[in-house]
This record gives sequence, structure tokens and C-alpha cells, in this order.
Amino acid sequence: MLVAIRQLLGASAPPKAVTDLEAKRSATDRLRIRLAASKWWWGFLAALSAVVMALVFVWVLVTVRDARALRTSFYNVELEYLRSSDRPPTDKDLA
Amino acid sequence: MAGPRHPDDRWFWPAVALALLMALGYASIYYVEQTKDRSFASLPEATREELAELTVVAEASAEVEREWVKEGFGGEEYLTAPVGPLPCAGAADALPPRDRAAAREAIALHGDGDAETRIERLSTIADTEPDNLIVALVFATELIDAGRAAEADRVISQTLDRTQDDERVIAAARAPRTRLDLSDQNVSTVIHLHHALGVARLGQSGAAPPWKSLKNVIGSVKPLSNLRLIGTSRGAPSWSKLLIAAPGCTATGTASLSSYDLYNNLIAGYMRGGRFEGDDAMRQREFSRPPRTYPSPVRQLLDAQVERAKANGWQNESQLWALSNVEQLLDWRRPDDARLNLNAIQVLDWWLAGDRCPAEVCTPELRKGLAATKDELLEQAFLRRNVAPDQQRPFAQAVTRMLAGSNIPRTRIADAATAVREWLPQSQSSSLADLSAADGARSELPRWITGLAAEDAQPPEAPLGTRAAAWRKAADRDFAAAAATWGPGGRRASSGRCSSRSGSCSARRRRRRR
Repeated sequence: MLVAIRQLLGASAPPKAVTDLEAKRSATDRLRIRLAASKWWWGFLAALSAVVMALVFVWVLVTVRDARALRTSFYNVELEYLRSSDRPPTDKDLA
Repeated sequence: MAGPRHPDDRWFWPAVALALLMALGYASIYYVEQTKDRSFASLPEATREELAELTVVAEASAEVEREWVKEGFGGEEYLTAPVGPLPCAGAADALPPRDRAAAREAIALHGDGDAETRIERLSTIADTEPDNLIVALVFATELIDAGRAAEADRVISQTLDRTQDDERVIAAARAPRTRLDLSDQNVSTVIHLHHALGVARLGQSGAAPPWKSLKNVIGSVKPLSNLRLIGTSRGAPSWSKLLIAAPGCTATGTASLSSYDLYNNLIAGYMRGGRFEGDDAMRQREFSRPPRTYPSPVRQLLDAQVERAKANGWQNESQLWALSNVEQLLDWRRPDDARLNLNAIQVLDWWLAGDRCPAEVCTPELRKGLAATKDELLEQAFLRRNVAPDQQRPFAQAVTRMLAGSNIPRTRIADAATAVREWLPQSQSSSLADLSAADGARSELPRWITGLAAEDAQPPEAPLGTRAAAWRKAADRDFAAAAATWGPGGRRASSGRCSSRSGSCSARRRRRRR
């Protein structure tokens, strides 16, 4: 109930009835309640988890990309590129 | 940039973008779920049902609402009753023969030509008959209606100085067995004349104190109920509603002055002037009342303030007399007179303000009782709203201001509030509408907070427009206070304005008892 009340109030100063009720709790409890009720706190955790998740995904993707790169012939890639272009290869290109 | 592309670029960058979107999506869902799980809406169904029926005491939201009417809605302004109607033709017949012609001529001028012409002709008649009370009454009434209060004051004062008729009637009215002819007409003339003098003096600043004339008329009303029957009921006390027909008028009704008008102006006079001082005998007469087993809150306030006044050398005595008159009136019944109700509330507010009512006198119980009395008076004022057209705007402003500070369920006066809104300027009528809307929003809010409102329903504060955000914040605070004192089984706060979907505090308490 206290968490829901605190969440409803947001940053507003609580009424006396609420502070009286909170006063019966320990300081740790009060801190836990305040954190659990804070939308900023959950926003921070959500952002943090999003960053972690994004880093994991990107790491996986980069790893896959690197693994595939080991099996890729870049000479063929370049040759395909040159074939597809209109310009005939010059000595400089072939060098 | 031209050149060969990495073959994995086709899927890599879209995959990175998709991964970021998935991370963001997960974060959003995580945030919504975590906050929702900790809101009132996630509580068990039974708990939410109980919370939705919670009686919320409006404190913070009421404070916000009072801010809406803080500026431009009048202050401590006492509305005075207007001068009474003009005498009828029959008034002249009861006068001594030498006075009849002038009185008939004065009365006949009623509605003849414009006001200035009538006043000029009445001036001429009054010059020839300077001690004729009926002529003076007609002349003074015309002057007051024309906004010339100072001249009316002079006309009546000069006439009363020349004759002792009024003094004899007043003295005789106070004597239990008088031999003087206390005909309805004589008494009525004196009452109307002194009332007009009171109105004239209340209508100008710096005038002589109006108390004598205002007190005289109250004194003269008493025989009306004791000896004869101009009023509506024989034997009724003067502080009940007695109608006093204008001299010569037989029918009571619209062409009548009410004893409420007389009390109203006396109270306004005491409060406006604030310089009245009585002697010991007068105080004894006014403030000595038989004890009550169950005194009303107003009586308790009066008794306590009289005791304080005795101890502090009768400070604020004038206002104490006003309070005494209010107590007499309210002790009989709640007056059905909007102006008087409004002034009575202001007198009570005056005595409750600041250090005039210390904590040892104004206990929370007494304040609660007085608040209930004021609410009754205000509701009656809204429902009756019987004020003169020129007082409609100040009346509407005052009752709107008072409504913001009251505990009246505003749905009970919804129709009256709509009518009163018409009397307010455009810029202010929205405030009264918002006060009504706020009451509805307050009762809807618990269901909205607990997630029991219909899914497609608008937020309850939506009708408040630009005021919605600030009001909602305060209303949330009120709900939080109520929820903090709530326990399964419903332990509730019990004072202040209440709101729940199912009605007022008292209705809730009754249901709970059942």
C-alpha cells in the first residue's frame, strides 16, 4: 500500500498520514519503499537493462559477422564489384 | 562512397537496428510492468473495491479550489436589505386630518414621471409638511432608490427631530400594556421609516451610526406578533419571519418588509461600523439567555466569546452583538433569506478567523459544528437566492467563494449553481462550473486510481481543462491520505468534505452502521 501511495504521489510532498505510517518502518524499509515506488528508479533500471541487452545483441551480431568474414573471399567480392561496374579495369585496379 | 561492400552488411546493420529496437521494447515493457505491479490498480480486486468506496476528505484539493476564487470574488462584504416598498393610498386616511392632503399627494406621485421630477415635487411637499412621517417616508424612499442616501438621511432625521410620534410608538411598543393606539399603520410607518433611515446610513460612508434606527425597528416589530397581526403568525418571536406591510397596504407579500430584512441590516450595521458599545444593562439584556442542555454550536461560540469579552474589556463588542443576533435567528430556524444567510456565514467566519477564536474556545468539535451550520446556511442561500437584482453579482461572487470552502455536496445544489452562474461575469462563471465539476471528479477519482473505471473513460479531472493538472495532483494527495489511514474493514477519517461514489459521509456512516 505504501509503495502504491508513494507511486501515486510521485515527487509531491506526502500528507501527514503517509509520513506517520512510514515512520513505523525502518530506514531500510523506507528506502526500499521509496525506490520501489519511484518511476525514475524503474526507468533507470529499464534503461540499464536495455543497454545491457543491446550490448549482448550487438556482441552476438559482431561475432557472427566476424565468423562469417573468415569464410568470405574478398577477392571475389571485389571481382564481382568490378564486373558489375561499366568501367574496364585499369592497370592500377589490377595491381 | 563507391567501392565493393562487405557481403554481411546487408543483414548486419538492420540486425543491429532490430537488436536496439528489441532492447528498447524490452525496457519499455519492463518499465510498464514494474510500475504497474506497484500501483493501486495491481492490488487484489477486493482491496480495490474497498479503496474505490473510500471516503476521501478533501483538504489539498479544497485548498486548490479556494485558489480559484481567491481573486475577484469579493471579500468581507455585507449585503444590506433595500428600502421597503412605498406606502399605499390608505395610509393617508389614518393620519390626522391636517396631514392627509400632503400624504395623499405624496403617495399619488408614485410612478408619476421620472424620479428627478418626483423628488422635486416631494421636496416641495416636505417643505410644507416637515413633520409628516408618511411624506418623509415617500420622499426618503424615492431618494434612496435614486442613490441619494445622504439626502434621504437628512430628510428622515429632520422629520424625526420635529416629531415625537415615532418615539412614542417605540416606547409604547415596548410597554406591556400601552394606551397608545398601536395600529398596524402607526407601527408600520415607524418601522419603515427607521428602516429607510438605516438603509440610508448604511449606504454612505462616514454617516452617523445606524444602530439606533436599526435597533428601533427590531424593538417595534415585537408588538406586531404580540398585539396584532401584520405578521404571518400570532405570537411568533420577532426573529422569525414576519412580514410588515407598507403603511396603508393591507396585503402582505411583495409589498412588504420582512423582519429578516430588519435583522439583516442590524447585523450589517454592527459588522460594518464595528463601533457599537452598550452599557451594562444593555449587555445584560442582550447576552443573558437561559441555559441549554444541548446548546447549538453558534450558542456555544457566543457564550464563549461573551465570556472572553467580559475578561478583555468588551473588545469587538459590535461584532459580538451581531453574533448574538445571528444566534437568535438561527436558534429559531434556518432563515429562508439568502442575503441573511450569507451575512450570518460572514459573521461566523469573522469570529472564527485568526486569533479571535483561540484553540481553547474553538475546539475541533466546535469548528466542525459551526462548519455544518455554515454549510446549511450556504445551501439555503443557493437554493433560495432571493436577492435584489442589483445584489445578484456580489451575492453570486460571495456564495461561489464560500462554496469553495464548504463541505456541501455540490450535486445537491447543481441546478441552483447553474442559475447563480448567470449572475457572474463570463470570466468568473467558469470557476463556479469548475467547482461543480471538481466535486464530480473527486467522487470518480478513487475508481480511476484503483483501475475500476471504464477503460475508455476519460480521466475524471478532464472537465477542469487548464486547472486539471494542479487539481489532480492535490486530489491524489487527498486520496493518499485516505488510503494511508485505511485498513481492511474500513477505518475512516470523519471530518471535512467527503466524496465517494455512493454519497456523503453521513450516508456512508449510516450504511456502515447497518
